[in-house]
Amino acid sequence: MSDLLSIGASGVRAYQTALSITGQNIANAGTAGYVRRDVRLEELAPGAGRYVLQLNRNINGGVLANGVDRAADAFRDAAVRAGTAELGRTSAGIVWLDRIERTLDGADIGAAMTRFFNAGEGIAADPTGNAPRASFIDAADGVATAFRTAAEGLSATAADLEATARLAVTELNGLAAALAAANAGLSRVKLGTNEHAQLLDERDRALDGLSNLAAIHVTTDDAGIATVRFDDQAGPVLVEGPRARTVAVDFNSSGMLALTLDPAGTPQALAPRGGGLAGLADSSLRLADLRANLAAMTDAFRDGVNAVQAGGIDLDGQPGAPLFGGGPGELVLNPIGLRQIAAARPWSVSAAPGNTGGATLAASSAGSPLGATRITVTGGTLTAIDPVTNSVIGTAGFTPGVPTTLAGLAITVSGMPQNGDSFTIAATGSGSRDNGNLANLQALRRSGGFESAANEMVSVNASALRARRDVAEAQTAIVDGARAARDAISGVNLDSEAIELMRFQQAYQASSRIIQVSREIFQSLIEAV
Amino acid sequence: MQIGTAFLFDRATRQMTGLSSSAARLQAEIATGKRIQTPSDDPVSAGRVARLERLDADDSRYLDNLKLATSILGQSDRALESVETQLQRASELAIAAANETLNDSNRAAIAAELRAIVDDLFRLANSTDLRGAPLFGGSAGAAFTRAADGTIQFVGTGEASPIPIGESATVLVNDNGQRVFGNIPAGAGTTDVFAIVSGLAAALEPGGSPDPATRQATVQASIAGIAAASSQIVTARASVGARSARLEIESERLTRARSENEIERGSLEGVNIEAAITELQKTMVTLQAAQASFARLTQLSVFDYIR
Repeated sequence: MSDLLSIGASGVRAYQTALSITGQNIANAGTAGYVRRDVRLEELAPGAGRYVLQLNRNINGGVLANGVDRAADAFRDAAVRAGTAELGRTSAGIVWLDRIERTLDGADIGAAMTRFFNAGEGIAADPTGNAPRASFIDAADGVATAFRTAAEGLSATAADLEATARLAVTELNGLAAALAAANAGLSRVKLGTNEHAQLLDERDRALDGLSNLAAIHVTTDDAGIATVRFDDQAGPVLVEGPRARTVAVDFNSSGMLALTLDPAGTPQALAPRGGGLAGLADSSLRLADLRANLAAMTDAFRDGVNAVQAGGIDLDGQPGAPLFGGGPGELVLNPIGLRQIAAARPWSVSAAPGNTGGATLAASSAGSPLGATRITVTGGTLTAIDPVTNSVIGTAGFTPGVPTTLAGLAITVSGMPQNGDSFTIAATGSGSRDNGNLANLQALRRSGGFESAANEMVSVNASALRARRDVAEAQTAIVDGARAARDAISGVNLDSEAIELMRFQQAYQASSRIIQVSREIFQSLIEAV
Repeated sequence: MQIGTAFLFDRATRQMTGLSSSAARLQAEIATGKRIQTPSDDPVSAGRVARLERLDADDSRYLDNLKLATSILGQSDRALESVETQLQRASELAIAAANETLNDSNRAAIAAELRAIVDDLFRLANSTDLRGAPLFGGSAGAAFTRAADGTIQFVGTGEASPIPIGESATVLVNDNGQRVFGNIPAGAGTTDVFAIVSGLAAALEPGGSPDPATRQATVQASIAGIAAASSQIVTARASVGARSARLEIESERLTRARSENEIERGSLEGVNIEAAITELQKTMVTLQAAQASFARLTQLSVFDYIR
């Protein structure tokens, strides 16, 4: 009789535990990282008793809730972590490429430069008009603004990236510490207890978080204590037992990210293969390259345009003032007047009245020429004469179309001159309607290839972004699949739990009934005596 | 396979978010008419679109320059036409003056008219173009000046600049006055149209040339000079006309190139509205169905049946 009572009592106790575990599952159905728990029910087998005095007594044992099973699968967990690390790297890259794209696309340096060079052609059509010059200055301001917008945007992006990387490393260190704490706990608690399951949940949450930041390799011992290495089994150790190493992040002057493991102990350079930190490292490299390219382009453009300006003569008869200022990598429009745009070439050639040939001359400085030089043509020879003293400065042969250096000038004859034709080469004065220097601006446009380079900057980034998005799509599908597979084992399904609830409730009621029956049997025995 | 309740909700959220963002994207494409919202949507096409935009900006600028050049050449043509008319009249007057039966007052009248023609020629040679620059000047200064003694001289310096009408194409719109009105061979040297007509007028004026033989020689020389000047003007006008014709062809080419660029750009970045609307409709139907089925699915729970 007492056996029946104790069997009933063991059932009531066991199903109370089972019900409380099911309740726990239901309550945590929405908790991230919670792994479904099952009660481990065991028959208390007849045989050796559990106490010294019960030695060799034959007992009908009943049931015992002997522990908690955690519905986890180490392989599925590893698959989710591997996928998360891959996706983490790609997604972290996408964020920054997208920022870069929006910055470059918004600044649209290429279009601003096109407007600038075309405004130059506008001045060429009307070299003394104010309107084309005003448009040119506006377009120059547009270019300066575009370069500044791009440079500032990229610099802000780099600053944000740096802050994000520092936060990510702080998070990594926090997770490593949490994991070490969970490891320490796991070494103390008994296997199969609720506490053990809770600590394993803690451990896996930390591991999932870590794998989002870096590719990790995890090994666990029988107690569930995890050892975490970066990359693979040969990688550097991050967490071992209750000890976690820290990771430090640093940025060099060009904004490139560098990670150091265990900076206070034995520092070691770290370059994780996957995870958000790898994506941040990729992006920091790309961003630093891009900023260097942009700065080089800014310098080339500024120096090129200023050189063209300096090589020409403005409407006041002065050499062109620099259009742009600013230090390395900067482009600032100088406050110059409309008349200071140097459209004219420094030397203007006038054919003498009475020239019978149809030749024209072009001249540029090649030394220190006089303010004005007269050139006469005799046979295949040019003679340079000082028009003030009428003394011969020098003579030189010439081939049409090929520059000849004479009297400090490089002279190019086009067409066929006749004997006795003469030309005056004079320094360009104020109010010139010449537009020859603007041809140099177009030559700069062609040789510099600035617009193509700017568009290529956008294109290269866009292609990389596009490729990453495609990869991320595939990786997302992989991670989703891995999560679904893990969830099929570990997830809490409320319908299943409801059924479990009913099952254990019925078992509990039945066990109570056993107690009642045992009491009734005992009562009828008493009454029979 | 068992599906965790939280996972079911998460997955439904992700799927519906994905559908919503597809719908928003399609809506943006339809609203802007552009398939390429950012370069990364289609990097290759976006690069080509950027190149086409640059070409279009260049063509637009060169078309503006062409219009200006065409107008200035038109002004040149009209000025030279007037010069031709004036020289025609001068030639008629010179031939009339060659008639020995004229008396002094007849000749004085002819001389007065010739003086007026010189004034007109001076005015025409000093015409300014649309930009306010001398039509027949050099790169600096005025074209012609008249000294106190009435002699007219070309004072322009340098050569007028051509206007760019293409990446490496230019057109000269200002002809050098020296070459249009001057450089007319006369004996060993050269003379200009003003000197010829003024010289004739001076010879015909009362007391200008008392010796009839000398006068006749001057008149005959002037007739030859005016003919040479006319022929030079006709040549200059023909050259202006040829350049105008070239500009017209170039302008047509650029206009055609621009519209072709526009078509290519449309095919690269334009959105196929019908396809996009159909796709949007499909996405919206899928989204509604997903929402409805999710709502139905989550309404069911075994807990509802535990009494």
